[in-house]
Amino acid sequence: MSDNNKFEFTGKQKKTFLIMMVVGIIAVLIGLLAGSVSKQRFWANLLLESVFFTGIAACAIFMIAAHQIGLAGWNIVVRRVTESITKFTLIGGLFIMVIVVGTAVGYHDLYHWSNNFLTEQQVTQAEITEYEEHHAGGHHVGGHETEEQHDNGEHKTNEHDGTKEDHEQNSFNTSEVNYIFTSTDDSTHAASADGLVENPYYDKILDGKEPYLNPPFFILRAIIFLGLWSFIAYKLRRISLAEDLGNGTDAWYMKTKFWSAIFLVIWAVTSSMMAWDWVMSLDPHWYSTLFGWYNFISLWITSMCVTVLLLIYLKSKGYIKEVNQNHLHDLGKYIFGFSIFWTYLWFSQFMLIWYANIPEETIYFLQRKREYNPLFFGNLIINFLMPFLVLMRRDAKRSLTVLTIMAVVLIIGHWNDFFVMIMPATVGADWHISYFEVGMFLFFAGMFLYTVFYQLSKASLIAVKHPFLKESLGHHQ
Amino acid sequence: MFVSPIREPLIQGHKTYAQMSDDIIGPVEAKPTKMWLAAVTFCGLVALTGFTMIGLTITYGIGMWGLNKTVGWAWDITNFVWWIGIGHAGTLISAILLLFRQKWRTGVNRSAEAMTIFAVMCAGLFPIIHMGRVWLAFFIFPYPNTRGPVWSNFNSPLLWDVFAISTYFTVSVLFWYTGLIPDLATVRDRAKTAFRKKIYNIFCFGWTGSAKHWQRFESLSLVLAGLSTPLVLSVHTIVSFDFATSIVPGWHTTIFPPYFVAGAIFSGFAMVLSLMLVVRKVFKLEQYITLAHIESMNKVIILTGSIVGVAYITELFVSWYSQNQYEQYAFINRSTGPYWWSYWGMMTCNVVSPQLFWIKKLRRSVVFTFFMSIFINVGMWFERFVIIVTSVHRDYITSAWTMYYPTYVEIFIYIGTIGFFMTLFLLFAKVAPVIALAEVKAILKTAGDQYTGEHATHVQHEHAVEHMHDEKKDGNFGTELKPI
Repeated sequence: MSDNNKFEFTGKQKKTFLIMMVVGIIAVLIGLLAGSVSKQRFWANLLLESVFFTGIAACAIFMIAAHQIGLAGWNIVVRRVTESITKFTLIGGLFIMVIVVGTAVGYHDLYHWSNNFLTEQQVTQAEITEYEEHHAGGHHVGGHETEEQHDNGEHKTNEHDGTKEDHEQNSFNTSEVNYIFTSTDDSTHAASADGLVENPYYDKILDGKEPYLNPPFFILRAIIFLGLWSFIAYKLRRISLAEDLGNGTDAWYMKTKFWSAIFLVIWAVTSSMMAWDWVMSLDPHWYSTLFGWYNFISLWITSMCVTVLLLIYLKSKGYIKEVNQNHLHDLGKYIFGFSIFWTYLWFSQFMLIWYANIPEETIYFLQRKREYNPLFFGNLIINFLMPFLVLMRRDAKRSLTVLTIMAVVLIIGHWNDFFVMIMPATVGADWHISYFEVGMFLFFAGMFLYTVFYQLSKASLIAVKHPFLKESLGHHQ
Repeated sequence: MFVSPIREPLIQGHKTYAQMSDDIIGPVEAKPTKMWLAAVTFCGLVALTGFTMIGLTITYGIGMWGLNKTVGWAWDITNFVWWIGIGHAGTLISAILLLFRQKWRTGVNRSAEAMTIFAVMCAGLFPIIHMGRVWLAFFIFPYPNTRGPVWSNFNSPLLWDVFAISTYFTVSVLFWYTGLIPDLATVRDRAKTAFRKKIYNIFCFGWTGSAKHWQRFESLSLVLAGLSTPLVLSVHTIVSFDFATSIVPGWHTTIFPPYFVAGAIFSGFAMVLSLMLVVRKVFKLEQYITLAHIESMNKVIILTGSIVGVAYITELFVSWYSQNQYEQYAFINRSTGPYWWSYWGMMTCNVVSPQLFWIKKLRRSVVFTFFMSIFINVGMWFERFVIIVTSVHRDYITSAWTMYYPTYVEIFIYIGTIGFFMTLFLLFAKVAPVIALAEVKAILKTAGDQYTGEHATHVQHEHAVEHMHDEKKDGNFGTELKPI
């Protein structure tokens, strides 16, 4: 009985994952070197995969912490697989750090708020010329769209012209009508004594957001989020492994509980902030208070789908016989229920913005509906209708085949969800899903699976001394 | 089903099924006590005062209230949302916690469901009397009529509310009553007089407890639980739409739907605690509503309170982040304007104080929990007041800025609904078991303290309890699994 819990990471599996990574790297290199892929598209894809896979890993920590605090017993046999997923947080986090540092410091087109030029009222003529040359099109494939976005940004700037001064003078002067009616920019480019001219690209809104959206703080936040998550993932895993070898369970159990509670508190704040930072600030003028929770649920569903796939794979190889249909049924219920909850959040965000019809807000969905129409609506069909109709029946949630298919579909679906959140803000209408995107996905998937399998092979697939283990073994419904 | 010995039992005192019936049905069979009579009279009088004030409002019009041209929604809508929120715990406990297999819900679900129904009844009063011409209230229902183009406006979230709340009310009543049927039958079976037997027999639909009855009961419960689950979210979501679909700064924010739902569950649990802590004391049900129950509910309070807290901070942050001066001012006005006390009252009661429940001692303290539950109810009332009044009393046009103060009529209508609510609850507690007897009996074998926990004496499956204690010592819970 104990044999089937010692997972062996075979050479064949290693080879498969390494091939995935190599193929991915080759695809990315071809894209970049052949010149058909813009820098922007590269960074946008790197961001998409980093956030997606790191998010899956971080949600696995949430899964452990939430079940620990909720005193769940059924999931103990599943736990080691979830634990293995959490270990990708650090690796995925390193890629996020590369993006965060790289784009905030060197490459400003991804997070264009990171460009100091946009928040300076007075600049030199040379800086304006440089900026204009950089954005004159042809710089990258998405140039045209980027231009259009800057137009948008500028247009909004004008709408908000005078906002800050008025705010400072009299923050509750509601008779201020500039907000709606001022739309002309009379800057004359007249050079002042020190050679500075009025910056025609000055973005009042971004200037106002600077205390939050600035490169040093942005980097610091990423370090804090990823550092905390990785640290707790490491702690929880270590305690769990130590429990296997130790005697008595209370101490380990209490420690896990302690770190789980800490994680939930941290996650409550960081899960929303990561979404604002890494995804929402790609459209730096746009905001939605629900955005963080929406992102979290999307990642969490994906994380559960990945867990289901891993479990089914392990079972197919003869491992963890202890995990049976009853446990998968529960995961299936989660996926079903939270897919509906995801739709609820999607609808709440969309409907409220659509109904209020405020241009600053609707532009977000307008662009997606126009330029990403099939993906935008496909999102709802894949992530709502499919799980809703397919997973509603009890026997569907207990069928390994149906669960496998649905898990794959939903991973693609939620990847698409992130694609539709990230791409319009970065590459605009010029989006592709081709060898390059697939390659980038394969690279990350290979790396992710390699990490997870490596972790699985390091310990028993069952937490043998967990006080709730026997409840989990006998779980039926 | 194996239960880990580290789980806390949920039924104490080594109860037998017969004892459980005695303990839970006992108060229904006993003569009304003087205390009960006094309480019901008092609450009835309070309710009567409230209805008198409603009468004044209907007679003289909404002018009896403190509303004005700028503040068209205030006290009444605050109370409406507050009551609707309180009405959320019942369905959450009976439907969602059922899905999450939380056994402790059986100790409190009956009263929570009853409370839900009474709270929704109180809530429903407010929009109706706010209409001014109550006699035209039926206009909200779309039906073929001779009024020509005057029909319900389907684009209005206020109309969605009508459907959401009436559906919620209907399903809650059905769910509650379905659960009551076997218990009413037990009351009937124990009845000493023929009259009493007859009455309870009518109300339990002649339940015999046959296998067929139980099978239908189970199917119906499952269907109702399935229907109730989305309803837990939909009702307060649609209430939040009343505000969030507008373009009023402070109201128009996308986080409102889930945040309103979390806040509703938060206040609902607080109200369940307020009532249950009294009920368990008066009816001596401490062995059925144990400290484990109270602790679990307090955990739900930390969870939902923190969700609400994160939402407050998100709103506050995003109002600044938006760089939209109206959004920003809405929040500056909330926190530092003339109604600052309501904002800080809300923050203290809803976000800061529930965090004290992280301390296990406080979580398990009955007295502390009771004060906390009152605190949270006050805080949640402030929350709705903050959202509604502070967002509208300073309009876009400064000349329209004004203050809102409630009149005595409004204040007594509010107090009257509390009296009405308490009267209904007291009546319910007298005629029906306040704990779902059949459901608590169902968990005895897995959560009774003779079967699990430190004082267990019974054999659990094939393993003797002594044996389990040994297992606990060496950390091997009778499984064959060995570490690798």
